Amino acid sequence: MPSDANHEEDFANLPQPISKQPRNWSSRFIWIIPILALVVGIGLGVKVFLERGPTITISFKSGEGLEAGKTQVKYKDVIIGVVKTVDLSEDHKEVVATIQMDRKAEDFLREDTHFWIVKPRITASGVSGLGTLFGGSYIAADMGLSKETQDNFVALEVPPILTRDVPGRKFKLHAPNLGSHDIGTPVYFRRLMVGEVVAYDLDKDGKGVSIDVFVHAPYDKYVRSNTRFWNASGIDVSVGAAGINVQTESLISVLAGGIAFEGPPANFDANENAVDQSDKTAVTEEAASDAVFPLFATRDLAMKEPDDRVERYVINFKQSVRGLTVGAPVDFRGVTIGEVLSIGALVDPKDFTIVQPVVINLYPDRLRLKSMANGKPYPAAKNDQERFQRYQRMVDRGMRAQLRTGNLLTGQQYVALDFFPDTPKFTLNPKEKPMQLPSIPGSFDDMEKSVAGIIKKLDTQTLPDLNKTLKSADALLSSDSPLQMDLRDTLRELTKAASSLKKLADTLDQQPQSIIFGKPSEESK
Amino acid sequence: MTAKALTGMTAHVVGCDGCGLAHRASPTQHDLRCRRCGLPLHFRKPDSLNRTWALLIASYILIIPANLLPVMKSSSLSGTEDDSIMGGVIYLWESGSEVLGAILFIASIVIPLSKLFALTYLLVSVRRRSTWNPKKRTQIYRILEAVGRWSMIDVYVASMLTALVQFGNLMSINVGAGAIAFGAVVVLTMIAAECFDPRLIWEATDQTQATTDLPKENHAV
Repeated sequence: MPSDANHEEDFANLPQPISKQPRNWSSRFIWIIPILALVVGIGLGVKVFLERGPTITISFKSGEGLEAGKTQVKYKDVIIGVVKTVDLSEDHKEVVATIQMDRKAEDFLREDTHFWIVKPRITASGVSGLGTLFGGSYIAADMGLSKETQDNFVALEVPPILTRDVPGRKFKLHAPNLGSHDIGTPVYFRRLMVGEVVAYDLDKDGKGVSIDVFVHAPYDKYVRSNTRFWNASGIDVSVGAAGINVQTESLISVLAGGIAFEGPPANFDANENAVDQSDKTAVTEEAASDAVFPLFATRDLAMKEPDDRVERYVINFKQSVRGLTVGAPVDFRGVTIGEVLSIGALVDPKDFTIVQPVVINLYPDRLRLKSMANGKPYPAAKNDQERFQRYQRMVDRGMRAQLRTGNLLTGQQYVALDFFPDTPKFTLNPKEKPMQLPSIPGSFDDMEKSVAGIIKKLDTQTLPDLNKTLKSADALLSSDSPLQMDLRDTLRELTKAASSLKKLADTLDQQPQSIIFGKPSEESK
Repeated sequence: MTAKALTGMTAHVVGCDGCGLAHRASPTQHDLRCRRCGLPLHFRKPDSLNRTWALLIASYILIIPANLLPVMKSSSLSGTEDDSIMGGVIYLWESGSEVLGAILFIASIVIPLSKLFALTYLLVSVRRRSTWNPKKRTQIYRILEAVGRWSMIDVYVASMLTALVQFGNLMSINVGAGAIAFGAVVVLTMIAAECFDPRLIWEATDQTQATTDLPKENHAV
């Protein structure tokens, strides 16, 4: 067995290694690696830290479609954040999502920034959010404009109809009721869809509704301070003195409702020159954002001239006012210058005569009187005194109110003002409020009266005469009267003459030569 | 007799790693070369502790982004989605594939971490010249060396998917920064393990006392 000493000896015989040049780089070089790793690690960390924006919370009514770590917050389809956690709120009434926003999305944390969840929706105005069928829902954002910032938001229940980055302007409409409008109801301008209803709200006093409409650029510039808005919903069928009037906008608005707007109608005088155009366009600058407009029920109402001056009168009719309705027109030679405000009944306690007072509103500006002398608009009455004098002069010339049938089919009636010469004198009473205008029985009443007179005359005078006439006629026509005998004889002779004439015609037809050669003998036949 | 265990170091003998030729040299000598094949000779892996520490620290640093950053970025019609390792584990676990989740968890999180910790422990124990159970510690080292490469499963899956799933807009998968960091961690720990010299574990025991673990016959001789 070899001993340690032997080993030593064996080892001593081993060859010596060769010495080599020491490496010139230090062994500490290896520490470059962790330093490099540190630099990379810190770099990544800093990058992540820099990209990491603020954390916000958004409360939702339900957690449907929200997934921690997955659901994204998007603005214009660009991801600006991601849901970190989804929890119930402390009172368990809401779902609170904590969202890690991107650095670049810091601007979004404004007081009026809106968030809502995007999921597939099918509404009357279209289908939206189809993409989320495949990709799952996401939270959409609409950046606010407020200067105030905040970190806790409440999500909208329904997505806003349009986001703030859409160019255009918002206007407010006032209407007595909402009609068939809803959020998303289209707004038309000359049958072009140019906007939509974005919100509506009941007025504080509950007496009306304000509807917010948004008109997209560039059409918003057509909304001017004198623009009229009206309901274009459905089919508007009105039966008036002018007959049946059907008004529709477009098929889609018939189905889904709509609001239309247009400028006021241009006014043309006889020479086809726009009247008042100069001063009209001067005052109609573009309407300001959030300007308030009335929403008229129909286009006709909307297009009516605004009636600045209103005068109220009462007309006492002594006959039936059947067919006259509140709102019926007051007509002056074909120009509608007013409307019926109310119809009542008055009784005189002394002699118990009953009259029907009809209160009317007159809009004298609609008549656009011009002076015959110089063609300039005739100045309006400066005060009540002058007005009264003018009316008195007109009444003196025979101006009377009369009920007329506008439409024979429906029996609609209207109040006509016209001049009837040879009417008894009537003095206006300026102290009455409203002042009474004189009336004369309607044309229909006249007709009725004369027809009744004719019938009476027929009854008392004409009918006995007629009886006498009929009797003599009867005698004349009896079968044994000489007239009858003579007539019969004459008729007989006439028959004979006709038959010989027929014979002659036959002969001529068969033998036309007979007219020259005479009747041929039997043999030659 | 306080006999030292006979090692190459104590016997002043060093073998060539390349051709096996034994040389007589003192452990104080440096920068030696094999007389026969010219390979550098050393009693212990050169600069072992230093290098291992450096690589280990680098791994410690990189394992943080490896776990925080997304390993895979998958973008489809539905948008893009970032998946980190832990996110994948949680997803697999919650979607019912507990086994797969566990495999991913062990391969991608437990093994790299335990490797780091084990290597750290070995390094610390060597530095403190610990004499505790060197055999066990050598075993740890062997397991550590053998198991290291399996951590690359994650990186492998990510790179395979990246290569295969490229359907334009429809669906595409890209490697995230996390995968690169993770790959770096695995490679660095493998190199660190390679740099570590297990013979250092025994050195402390060799120099302080005649170990009782040594085969009896050695003493008898």
